[in-house]
Amino acid sequence: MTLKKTKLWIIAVIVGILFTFINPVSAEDVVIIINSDVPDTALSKEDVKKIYSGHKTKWSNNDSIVLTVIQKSELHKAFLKEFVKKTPSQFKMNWKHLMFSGKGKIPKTFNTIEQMVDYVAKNEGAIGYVAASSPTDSVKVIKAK
Amino acid sequence: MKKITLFMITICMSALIVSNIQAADLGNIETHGFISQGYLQTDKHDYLADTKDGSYQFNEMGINFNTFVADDLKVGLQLYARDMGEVGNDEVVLNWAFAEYNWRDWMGFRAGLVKFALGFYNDTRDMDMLRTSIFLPSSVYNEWLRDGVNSMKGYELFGNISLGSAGTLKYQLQTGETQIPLDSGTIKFIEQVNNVYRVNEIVVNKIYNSAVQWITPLDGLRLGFCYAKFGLTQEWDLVTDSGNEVSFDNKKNEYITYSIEYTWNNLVVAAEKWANNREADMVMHLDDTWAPILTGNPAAPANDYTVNKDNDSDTNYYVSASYRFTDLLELGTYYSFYENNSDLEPDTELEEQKNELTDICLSARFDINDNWIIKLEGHKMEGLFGVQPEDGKTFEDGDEDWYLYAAKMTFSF
Repeated sequence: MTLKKTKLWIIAVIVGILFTFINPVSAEDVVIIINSDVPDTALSKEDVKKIYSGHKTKWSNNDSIVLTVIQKSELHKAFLKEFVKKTPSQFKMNWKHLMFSGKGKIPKTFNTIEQMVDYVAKNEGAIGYVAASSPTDSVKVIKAK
Repeated sequence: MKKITLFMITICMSALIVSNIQAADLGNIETHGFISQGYLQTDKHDYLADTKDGSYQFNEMGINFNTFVADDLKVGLQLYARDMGEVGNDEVVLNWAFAEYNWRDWMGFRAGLVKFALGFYNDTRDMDMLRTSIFLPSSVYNEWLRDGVNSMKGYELFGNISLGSAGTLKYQLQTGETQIPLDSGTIKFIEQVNNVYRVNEIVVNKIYNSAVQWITPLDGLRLGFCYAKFGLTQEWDLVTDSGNEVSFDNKKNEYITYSIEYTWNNLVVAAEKWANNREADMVMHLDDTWAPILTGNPAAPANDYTVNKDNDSDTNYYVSASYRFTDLLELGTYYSFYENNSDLEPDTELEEQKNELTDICLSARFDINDNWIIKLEGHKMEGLFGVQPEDGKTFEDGDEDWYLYAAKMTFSF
């Protein structure tokens, strides 16, 4: 085996080892957050699925639900897999379908958990999701079952 | 390249320069848009455009604006232009424009130019970036008839009814009317299929449309049913400007679709069936020259002749599957079968083939990024329904087997 090929193999092995130590976010790590003024205190997983699929658009007091998502992250993938039962591509297509037919609005998208938490805290009707370890003092946390 | 195309490309390219763009926020007005340019090529015949020579007359573009004027009241519209051979020619039209009052999850109301609910995919058939393939299966989503079922002026009651552990029932109840433009694909299709000199008018009125979807408790499975009943006013010139006209006393016009879709991880399978049941008394106003020819009676005088046309179609369906392999690549395929149930029994196999179209499609979709996709597609066709022979030629036995190739690039924001 040439020196170049050997180096490539070593790099591949190192990368493989690194990936085994990277823990993707698991479903147990994801919690739902809502604005503190939202009267609902419990949500089922089915409720969360309906909300993020666009089938449920109102809270129990008939205020509009404002959706937020974290863009392109392991947290987003874990949330979609556990609660919405869609891949990121399918989720995006569903909302684009609603938006381009005039029937829905693309969820508010953020790059970081901090940005999402801040938005949910300040906006009535907002819902989001964070890692369980994230600071959530300013919002209401719901463990959907 | 037409000015409107340049204008839309400028808008979309400007949007692409901004990274992670989701929408252009003009204050409280949210804006989204797309531009799509394609290429069509057939090995034989012309289909939808002059495809035997290869055609770039295949593009779509649109831009929409939405805003909430009150908590539950939204208004929005989408401007749209397309070119498909002789149809569209990049003329800007309203794709939809309505006000929506979302009173409760289980009941809302729309008024204006609303999208016609037909199957799972009619309301977004103009935007191919929302699916794997370039063309939707023609058995249910006939490209020629697209402008006839795009939208209607009227009202819609809609809602999502929670069934608890039994899932969700989505419904749409629509009523309205639509006038089909004389330069539309629908008109050209009717003229071609019926061998009519000119269609002078088509008005689709008294539309009563209902669509339900059951989002079942089984994750990824949804079922759908649509039933539309409508009145249809048509006037044709049978042969040149001779005064030999046809008008229709419409008795029945129905569209019925059955739909099923199952999503499991990256796999999506779907199937739909479409039926168009129609009955009308066709009143032909014929002169001395054409009465004998068109009635088959050499002694037939100039007069009004009434023919009852009663056609039920029940053999139009497709099955499809798509799979996303990576963030970049998604592959899809479908088998589509369409048979036009004409009340004229075909004398030859060639005549029979002119009433059928079987389409086996293979598609590859490449998502370059969130805003840019490229598609490549091949169709193995059998049948000649909706197909034109090349210039100066006529169809011959064996012409029913042909291929269509398509490529498309779409930018959206």
